[in-house]
Amino acid sequence: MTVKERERQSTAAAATRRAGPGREALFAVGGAVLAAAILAIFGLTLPANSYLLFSGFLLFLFTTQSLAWNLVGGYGGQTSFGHATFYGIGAYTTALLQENAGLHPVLALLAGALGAAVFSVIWGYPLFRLRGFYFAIATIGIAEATRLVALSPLRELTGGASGFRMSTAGAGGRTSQYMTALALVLATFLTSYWVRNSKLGLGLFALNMDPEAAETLGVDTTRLKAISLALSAFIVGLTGGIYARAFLYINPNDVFAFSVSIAMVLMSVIGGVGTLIGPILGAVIYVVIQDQLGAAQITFRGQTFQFRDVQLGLYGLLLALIILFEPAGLVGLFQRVAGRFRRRGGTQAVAEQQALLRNETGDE
Amino acid sequence: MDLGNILPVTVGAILLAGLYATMSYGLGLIYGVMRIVNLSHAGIMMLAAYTTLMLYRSFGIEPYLAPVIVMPLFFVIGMGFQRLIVRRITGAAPIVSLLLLFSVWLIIQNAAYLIWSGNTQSILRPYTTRSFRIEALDLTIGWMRLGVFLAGVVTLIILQFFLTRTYLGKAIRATTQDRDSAKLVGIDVDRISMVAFGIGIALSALAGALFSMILPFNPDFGRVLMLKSFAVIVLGGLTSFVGIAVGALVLALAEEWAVGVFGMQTALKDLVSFSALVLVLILLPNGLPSLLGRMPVWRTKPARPTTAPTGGKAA
Amino acid sequence: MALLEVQGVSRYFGGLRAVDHVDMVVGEGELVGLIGPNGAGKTTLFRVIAGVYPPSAGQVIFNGESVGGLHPNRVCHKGITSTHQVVRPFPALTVLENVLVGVQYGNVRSGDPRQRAREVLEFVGLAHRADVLARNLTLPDRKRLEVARALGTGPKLLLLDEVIAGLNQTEAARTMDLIRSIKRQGVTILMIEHNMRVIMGLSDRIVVLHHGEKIADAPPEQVSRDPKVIEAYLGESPVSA
Repeated sequence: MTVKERERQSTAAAATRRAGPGREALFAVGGAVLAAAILAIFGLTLPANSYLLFSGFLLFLFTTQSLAWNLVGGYGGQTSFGHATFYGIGAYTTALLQENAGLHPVLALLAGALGAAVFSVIWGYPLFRLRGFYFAIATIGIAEATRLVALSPLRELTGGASGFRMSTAGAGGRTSQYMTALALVLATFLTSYWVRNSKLGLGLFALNMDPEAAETLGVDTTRLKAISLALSAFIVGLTGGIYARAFLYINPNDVFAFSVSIAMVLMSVIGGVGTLIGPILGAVIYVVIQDQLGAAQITFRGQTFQFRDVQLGLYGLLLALIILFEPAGLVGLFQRVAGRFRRRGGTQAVAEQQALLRNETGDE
Repeated sequence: MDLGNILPVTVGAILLAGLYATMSYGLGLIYGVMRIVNLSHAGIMMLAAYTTLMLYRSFGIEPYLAPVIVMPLFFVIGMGFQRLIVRRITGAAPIVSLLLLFSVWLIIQNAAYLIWSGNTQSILRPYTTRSFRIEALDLTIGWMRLGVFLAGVVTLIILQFFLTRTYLGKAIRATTQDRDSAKLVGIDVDRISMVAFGIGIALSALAGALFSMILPFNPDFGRVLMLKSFAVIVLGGLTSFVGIAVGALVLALAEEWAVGVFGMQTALKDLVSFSALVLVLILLPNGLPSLLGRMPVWRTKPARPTTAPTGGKAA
Repeated sequence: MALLEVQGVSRYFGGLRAVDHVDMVVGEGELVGLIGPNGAGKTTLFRVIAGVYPPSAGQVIFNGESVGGLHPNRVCHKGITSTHQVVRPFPALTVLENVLVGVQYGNVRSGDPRQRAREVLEFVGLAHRADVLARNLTLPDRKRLEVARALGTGPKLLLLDEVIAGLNQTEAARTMDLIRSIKRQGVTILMIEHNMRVIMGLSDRIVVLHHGEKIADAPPEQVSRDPKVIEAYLGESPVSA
């Protein structure tokens, strides 16, 4: 790998790693808790049947997924197109344990997440020997194979193409769903922040930038990748379980869908892969576009389309632009804009000082 | 297990292999020269299928003649695309090109949806459903399947000739083997990449045009086929066209036998290629050729030495 | 006592013998220079010792244990760390963080890692650049960082691959001082360098590789007079390989 290439790859990772540790911790943790508190109070003021509660719930779930994907795909640079497997396993394990085994909902959720984490280790370990595209492409193979297995040989368990319906007993109201998802997104953000500043995060950044150099410095790259994938899988598994409990209906073609994996990649990369805030920005944009334009109709050559049917193309366009012009994503873009302002400020100050000096020493 | 089926199933598999090989050549060529995995492959095949359909609907051009127009068209599109977009990211981390081409796939998929709607299309001509029987072997073969198979074989022969006999082909091979050395001996690697990308896209388009005559398609067409193409090129050792043809045959045989001989559910057929893709990547990263002891040119991890070095000149 | 024993190590690439049946011993506390014309197999030998390549034949014994074929990270945990000929700092990490990787994942992991990383930076003279992104360093500083990172892992044996090449005279002298003080700390060093004056001035003993084979192993003044070595460097005579 050339230096230029490595730098390009790691720009994103570095984008938000500046600022002093103390100030940054206060800002990140304090800010996150404050934001969550405000969102919680806001949620409480909304009527129980409010559509906003539902939108918020979805936003939190997507943000959680995006942050979780970023742990392994961003920090560790292992682009996974297979995260739908964790979502699906989380959803199905939770639903089945709660419905068929009568397990307590919270335990069922945790079991689902654990199931996803275990599954991640099963395919993660062998696949982490692969680098670059090979890993990414193998994950597509894993995801599609898992979907097929859930759809057909496990039909008895999953309900096959007709899906699996849960009784309404376990479902809380919209307010409680909103709160659960909010708590999860806060916990995930804090986890992401902690990983980023921990030994684990440092090792992940190192192996992302230069696996060989990291190895010679004692980093067990396979183990670190597996740990981050399992952590990521655990969190995505939780979102799957929460989704199942909220919708009371799951289908292998939905929860194991390729588009579920794609969404996580898109949100992270568009927002700023490897950064702390990027995945949140990406998820917000993703959900807002979906929410605001989801019902919109497009008329093109005399035909009318639902926007949601073509939205992936729009995300594709965004992704292409990001990759070509701003690999650090929206976060990078913001920083660049902010930096330009700051630099302008800086040069102005310098100019002023020079002018001052000239006056003092100078014109006779 | 149903051994009575073995002959027709095998013949079917061989015909299918021709198609698999055709759809994988483009992927292999682009990978070889640029070390980029073309994730827009599915989109290109889909686009070519629609182009074939449009040529027939609007101009009455028979679908079997469509490749004559489709291939040059996509060659030019591919070159332009390489020059304007893909070239900007040469040398970047693999994931950058992967995501870029992936985004291209999403864009053309949805563009196709806007233009042609999500309805499933198929091209039906009198000859597309005609077949012939070989009574002695109790075998029925679709003419279209046979034609598509032959197209795959002819493509392989032309490609092999092109790569070994022409300057451009040799330059492509040299670039595949070692990009830096190719540069050193005066090959315009930039231009070669552009041409190779164009040819690769044209080959993907050829596969799409051929598919349009035997399979129904919609804008989502090609995802599973693309994964199968990956499996084929990985099986084939990634950079050799003969390897790709062999990989296609192995994959097609595995799939057809699993269903036709070993009685696997048809719904699980695709599982064969998905598992093959993952397992071969992990267990045989250099593909089938490494089993035969023939080393693919790009191979970096050395095998045991087979011959004593002459003179031992470490470069 | 021998810290590192290389016993009959070979490394082939296809039909090419990059390293051919090399025997070599490095004693505890020694500073051994490894020289040879371009393509002699020096870096390959380093990479075999560091675990990047498994040996095609032979054994690498470190501290009485066989380490040949272990993963680089395991080798590092045994106490061997190498620098890279082409410097490759983690560009988007700060200088301190670069060192921290070795400190946190390396061989010796005691005390406050940040404190230790700072001490290492102090030691190599990069403390004032601690919070700079590694990509913004000058070449001499990058080379220093390469050494600092390796030192951070707490190695018993340090493999230095051309850490002086490409530096101007002042910088080279500084780095030579640094290497001497690393040695004084009790770290055993095996180093590749092209500059004869540097290698002659630093090494206790010099091993010469040519076409992957060891052709000399002696104190500096003897090596410089060895006709085989002179021949290898002039490279004129018809080699009877």
